[in-house]
Parts: sequence; structure tokens; C-alpha cells
Amino acid sequence: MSEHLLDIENLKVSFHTYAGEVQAVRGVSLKVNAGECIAVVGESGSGKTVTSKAVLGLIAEPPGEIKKDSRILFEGKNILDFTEKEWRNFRGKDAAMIFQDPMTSLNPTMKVGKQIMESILLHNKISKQEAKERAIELLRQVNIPNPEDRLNQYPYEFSGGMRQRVVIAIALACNPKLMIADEPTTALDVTIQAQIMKLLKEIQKKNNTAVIMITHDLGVVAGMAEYITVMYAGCVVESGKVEEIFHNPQHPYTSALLKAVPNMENENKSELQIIPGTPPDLIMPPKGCGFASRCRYCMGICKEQSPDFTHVSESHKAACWLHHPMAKKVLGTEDIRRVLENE
Amino acid sequence: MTDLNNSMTEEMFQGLGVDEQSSETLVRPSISYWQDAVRRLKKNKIAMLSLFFLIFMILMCIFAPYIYPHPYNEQNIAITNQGPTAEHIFGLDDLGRDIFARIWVGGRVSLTIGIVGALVSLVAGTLYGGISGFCGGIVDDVMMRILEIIVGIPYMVVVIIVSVFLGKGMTSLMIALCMTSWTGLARLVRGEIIELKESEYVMAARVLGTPSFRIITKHLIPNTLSIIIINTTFSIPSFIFSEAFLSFLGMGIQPPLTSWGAMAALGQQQMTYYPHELIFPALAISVTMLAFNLLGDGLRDAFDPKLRQ
Amino acid sequence: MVKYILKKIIYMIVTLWIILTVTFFLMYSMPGDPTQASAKVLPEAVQKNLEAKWGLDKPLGEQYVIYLKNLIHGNMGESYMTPGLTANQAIEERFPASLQLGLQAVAVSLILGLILGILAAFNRGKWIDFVTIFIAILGVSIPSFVFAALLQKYAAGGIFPIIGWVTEGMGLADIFKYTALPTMAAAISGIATYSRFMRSSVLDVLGADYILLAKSKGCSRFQIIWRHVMRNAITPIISIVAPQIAAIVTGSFVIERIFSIPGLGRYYVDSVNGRDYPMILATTLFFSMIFIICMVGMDILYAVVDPRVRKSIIDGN
Repeated sequence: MSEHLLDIENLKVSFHTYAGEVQAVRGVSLKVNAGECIAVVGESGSGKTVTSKAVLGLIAEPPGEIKKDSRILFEGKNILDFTEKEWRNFRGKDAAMIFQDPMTSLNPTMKVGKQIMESILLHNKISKQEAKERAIELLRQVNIPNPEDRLNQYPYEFSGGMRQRVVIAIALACNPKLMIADEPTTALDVTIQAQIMKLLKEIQKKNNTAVIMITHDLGVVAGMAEYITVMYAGCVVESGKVEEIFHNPQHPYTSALLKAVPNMENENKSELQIIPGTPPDLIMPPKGCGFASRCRYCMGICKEQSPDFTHVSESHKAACWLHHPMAKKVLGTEDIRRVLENE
Repeated sequence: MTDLNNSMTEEMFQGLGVDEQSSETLVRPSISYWQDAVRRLKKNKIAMLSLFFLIFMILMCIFAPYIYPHPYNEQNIAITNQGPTAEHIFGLDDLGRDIFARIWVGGRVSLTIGIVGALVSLVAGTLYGGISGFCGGIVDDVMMRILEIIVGIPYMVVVIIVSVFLGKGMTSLMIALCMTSWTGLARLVRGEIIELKESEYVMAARVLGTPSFRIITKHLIPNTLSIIIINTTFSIPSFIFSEAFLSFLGMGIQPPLTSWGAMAALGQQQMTYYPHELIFPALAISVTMLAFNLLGDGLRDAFDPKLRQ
Repeated sequence: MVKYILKKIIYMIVTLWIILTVTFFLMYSMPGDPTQASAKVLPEAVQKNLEAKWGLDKPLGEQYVIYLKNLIHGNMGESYMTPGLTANQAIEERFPASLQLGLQAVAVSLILGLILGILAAFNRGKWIDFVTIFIAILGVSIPSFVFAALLQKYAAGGIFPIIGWVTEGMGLADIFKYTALPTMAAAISGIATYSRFMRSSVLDVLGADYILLAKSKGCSRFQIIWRHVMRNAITPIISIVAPQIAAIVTGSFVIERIFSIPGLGRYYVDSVNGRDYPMILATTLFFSMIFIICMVGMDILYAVVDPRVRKSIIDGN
């Protein structure tokens, strides 16, 4: 029924804490085609990591809870109905994940080679020797010098960037159709960041792997992703092609986010802008738009009801009351443009 | 949606501007670390029950011997080993002494050793660990080497050496237990201080020119206090345990004075025929230990910021 | 690594020497004379004779040198209480029972404690978790002598003998019968400590990112537990095992006494009560040695299990 590789529909995830139910993800929909790279952008606590973990079934229940009407279709099958065994076959083989902090995402007491081979041996019926050769090949693919020697080392003998390459090698082990990279470069130095991004891009192109790049840094994804989804307070606020998002943002949050990215080209034009305020507490999510309290142009309606998506083009949509015909009547097109471009 | 569209007015689309006030308001009330810890402790019924039980035990140990009609050393040769009666609530021991009266006198000894011992090791451990961690360098090196050697001596050996030298009794027991018990806390405090010293906020305080004394009193002490409190709560029962154990072996409290361990030792010999002589002192030890352990657990849960969400 | 072990052994010898010296001078400089310690009042001539025999008439320093010389030759002195019995003989005779009891108790408490702790952590909030917490709290709250006495009163008498220990030539069934209750009594505190530690250690590891990564590879629950959780969760346990072993050795003083086991712990206590100086000295030294060997063993085991510790050791040299 779906031609998409991954189709998330109305995903809702909550966590039950002592203070109450935290609604971390509140109805997110997202589509990824085979071989495509999309970026999910948002600040911490916007629900992007929770969304990605839900795709791999890594939400611990309890305290987590995926609401019943949520659906995640992978090649047309709802993976939320998977049995434990189906999950095991799915993880690592169909989809793999790269975590944020390479310093903690490798088992400290297991040799690196073994950690890579583990994934290979789980999903392929091959001998240990073959798995070892494959692991060496993978390490070479992620540009780790002397892979034969490195195989027998422990994670502490690797630098942060090198460890992240190992994590990528593990993710690549079974040529997954989908790779989720959860802020893969946040914990790394800037120069290493660029290398890792380059590597991920090469891999995506070469293996035709779909990639979901999760980040809080719009600058990181510019050269890599084809589509961008912007999340705020557990909801998608805008999504579209990279050019559309960068050149024609249709949500005040997106444009504010763009202004917050340091940009060498127009450094004389404006200072780096900050977004005042903090995101809402998702224990008591706001009735209306999540961004209302920080929005430069917040209207009465914004606090009352959350906006629906307005399609700007076939691929580009945004959820903001400013696109409502009534807003145009009150404000006029020019003012709306100014607000949206955050001038 | 259509309904709403109809009811929408242009007014609703008037700009309100940034409402920083409301976005800055945190939904959860902000409370300090200590308030939060106390609140969590108060909510923990088991820990509070333990706390009240311990207060009750301490009060009983202080006042019961004055109120209860039978002194702890009064002998009723005619009715030795009698089980619990209305006159003698917990019965009598093999010399006809009232066990109820002896429990509270013995409790004085056991609890005193527990509390005083824990306080001494608290002071010694905190000072030793604190100095070692704060000074660092050679001082730290030397102090840790000495500590390593002290840790290498089994406490049983120290107890025996001290009791051989000073004679058996409460004093030598106390000295021996204190000599060996502070090392654990010293290591903990040292580790914590070293970690704190390298933490960014202490670094920041240093860069701002805060004097050492202020760093110690404002940053280091408050932040190590929780582990010190938790450790001390757990070390009280371990002192009581050691006392009971040594008195049981005949190396601790000597008659006519008694303690829970000494009473249990006497009771154990009579256990086959008069189990009440073992059961009451054993219960006193076990329930007190239980209460201290549960209170310690409660404190740890209340203080541990990792568990806070 | 070899250098590290050598360093540890040197520390060990220094510690032992300090313990020996302190014990020796404290004991022999004490007021009163060991010859007066025994209940009988000895005639003066006999006393002088004994003093000469034990070398007590010589100055303290000389006695110490003589003792050290003998010690280097492996001779730890002769009992005052039981003339003719050397300390070496006493240890040889008494230690096997203590060792067997200690090892059995450590094995039982490790196996049960670790299994309980792991089960509890994986079933957090379920009944097995509460049972484990309950056992753990009871185990640290009830002194081992109370537990031993209760076992003796309520469990012994039928299959299990009330007192006594293994003698030579016993079959396996008999060995089990005689050792089961004392072993349980000695193991209870260990079970409590290990299960509690293991539970929190496993919970810590389960929250780590690398467990999430292992899960996202498609590892099964069992594979995650076996390959990723166990080794990382057990490492911190090592640091409490050594003091625990020492505690079980000392803890068994009481159990040896209650179950009338002819172990070294009981003998140690008897020597102290009888002021049998050479025996106290020899047993102190022996127990300290075992304790320190446990500690050094722990450090080395740590290095074997955790590659990071191994590296810091190699770097340190």
C-alpha cells in the first residue's frame, strides 16, 4: 500500500515519570524513500531522538509507551506489531542506528572486531573467518588504517572520531536499507565532524542506503540531506526539500533556527540571533501551537488550537496559523512574509 | 475544523508578540536540592517508619531502665529461665535476670558503640579523605599508601591486638573498631573531592578568584555531604554488627555490663530449651539493623541525583 | 604487568611485616607474663624454667630478632597452652576445615547472589525483584550467629547433624550433610551483598548506550545479557568480593563455634582467650596473609577482566 521505505504515521510516545506523563512525541508523521537522505532537525527535547528510537523498537516499555493509534510502516508492514523475533531480524539487517556519543556506545570490555562481527554473524550464515574478513573490509570502508590490527583492540584505544567510524561500520555490517544517525557528530571536534559527514554521504550514495539524519544543527545537514523535517515540542512544524526550507521557510521557528546558524557568507549582514525563551514542558503540553510562547508573532488563536499543515508546494508544508486565510486578511501578505522570514 | 473556522474572528489573529514571561515560567516548582531530598525522604514511608522506630528505640534505651521496676542485674534464682510473663515481659535468663530490662541496658551499649563509632569514623574519614583529595600530589600519594596498608590489616586482628593490650571491654572495642572503619569513607570522600575539584564549576569559582576556604565551604562540603550522610547511616549498623559479633565470641563487652551481642551469646547456649533468651536480643539487633539499613536506603534514594527525573 | 604484580607483592610483604612487628611488640611488652596466664599458679622455679625455654628472659629486641629468624625458616613458634604443639602444626591441622567452609560459602553466595541480582534487575518491579530486595535486606540485618542458631534449632536434627564436621573418609553425601547448614549460615551475608550489588550494577549497565547499540544490532535478550551485560556488570563486583571473602573467613569464627567445627577461627579465639602468644602471632600473621592475598588477587583479577584497568597499569609503569 505504500511505496515509501519508511512511513511513520501519527506517532505518539509518552514516558511515565514520577512527575506525570511526559508526551515526548505528539503525533509525528514522516516518510522516507529508499536511498534517500532526510534530516530531522530540532532542539533538545523536541522528540527527534525518541522518534528514531521508536523506529528501531528501542523505547523501553515501561516507562515509555507508544500510543495505540501510532503506525510505523517499513516496506508496508507495521513494525509496531512485530514479534520479538521479527524485531531481531529487522534490527541490524533492515535498519541500523548510529548513536550520539561514540565514547559510550561501544562495549568497553569487548574487542572492536568482535563487536562488528557480532552483527555480521547474527544476520548471515557465514563462518567466523568470513565474518572477520568482512569486518576488516568494513573498517577499511570507514577509513580506519591498519584494520587487521585495529580489529584486536579495545574501544579505549580509539579516539572519538575513530570510535564513531567503528559504530558506523557496525551499522553498515549487513547493508541495511535504512540507517538512522542520531546526532552522529555532536560529540566530536569540528574537523572530525566534517570527515564523518563526508563518510556518511559516501556510504549513502554507494550503498543506496536511506539515511535519517537527526541533528539540532541545520548547518550540518545542508550538504547531505534532500529533505528536512523540523520538529518542535514533540510535533513536526515544517517539512520540505532542503532548498525550500533554507530559502523559503514557512514557519517562524524554522526561520528563527536558520538565523541561529553561523554563516560565513553573510557574516556582515546580521548578528547571530537567538530564540528567546525555552520550549514548553511536555508534561503539560500547550493546548495550541507549541511555539506560541516564543513566537515573535503569536496570535490569540495560536494559544487556543494547534494549527494544521498548509501545503506550500507538493513537497513543502508547514503548520502555522499565519497561513490561514484569516491571518492574511488581518495582516496582509507583506507582513506575513516579513514575520516568516524573521526580519 | 469548519466549525471552528466559522467561529474564528479576526480578533484571534491579532498579534500578541513574544510572551517571554509565560515561556520562562517553569511548570514544575523549583525547589533546592536539600528541600527536594527531604521531601523525597518524607514521602518514603518505609524510611520514615524506620526513622520513628529508631527514635523510639533510642528513647527507650535512655528512659526505660528508670521506669521499668526490675533492674538489669537483679537475679531471681528461684525462677531462672522463665519464659515471658506479665511480670517479666520478655522472660528471664539463666541467672534469673529480667531480659526486658537487659535489652535496654544492652541497647545503650550497642547503640552508643554504633553512633559514637560512626561519628568518629565520619570525622576521621572525612578529614583524611578530604585533605588527601584536596591537597593532591605527594601528600595524596603518601596518605593513600598509608591507607592501603591500614586496609590490608583485617579488623579482627586489630580488635584482638587492642583487646590483648588494653583488656577486653567497651573502650578497646571502640578503639579497635574506629581504627579500621574510617578507611572506606576516606576513600569515598577523596574520590568525590578529586572529581569535584576538576569539575567545571569549581574551576570557574577558582578562575573568579574565590579563596580556597570559600571553595571548600561553598562547593566541596555541600556536595560531598550527601555521600557522607548516607555512608554514616550505613556504618552505624555495621558497628552494631561488629560489636554483637565480637561480644558473641566473648571478646567484646564483659559482664556485668551487657550488650545485645553478649545477650545473644548467652541465649545461644540456652537456645535448645529456652529459645526466648536468644530470640529477644536477636530481634533487637535485627530490627534495629533493618531500620538503619532501610533508613540508609531511603536517604540514598532521596539524595541520589541520578534517580531524580 | 609483571612489574605491577611484583609491586603489589612488595606492598603485601611490607604490610605483613608491619602487622607482625606491631603485634609482637604490643603483646610482648604487655604488663604481666604469659606464664601466669594459665589457670594454675606455677611454682617460681617452673616459671623461670618456662621463661628460659620460651626465651622470655631475653631483652625484647633480641626476642624479636630470634622470632624473625625463625619465621624466615618457616618456623612460627610453639604453643604455650599445649606444649609440644607448633603453630605450623596447628595451622596445618585446623585450617583445612576453615578453608573448606569459607570456599563453599563464597561459592554458594556468589552463585546465588549473582543469579538473584541479575534476575531482579531484569524483572525490575516484579515479584522476584521484591524477593531479592527482601533477602538482601534481611541478609544484612540478621547477624550470622543468629542465622546459624536458627538453622541449628529448626533445620538440624533430621538429615543434617546439629554439630560436627567432615572427617576423613566420608562420602560425598555425608560431606554434604555436615557442611550444608554451616555453609548456608556463612553464605547468607554474601548472598545479600552480592545480589544487591549485582542488581544495581546490572541496572547501571542496562542503561548504557552500548546495550542499546547491541539491541539495535538485533541481539536477542540472552545474547545481550551474556555478551554485553555480564562482563561489564561483574567487573565492579570484584571490588567487593575480596573483602567479602575475608569477612566470610572471619565470620566463620562464629559459625565454627556454633556448629563445633574444628577450624582455625575457633582456635584463634581460644588462643586469644588463653593468651597463647605464639599462637596468636602465628594465626594473626596467617589470617592477614590470606586477607592480603585476596586483595592482591582482586587487583590482578580486575586487570584481567577490564582492559582499561590493564592499560592504566601498563601505562603507570
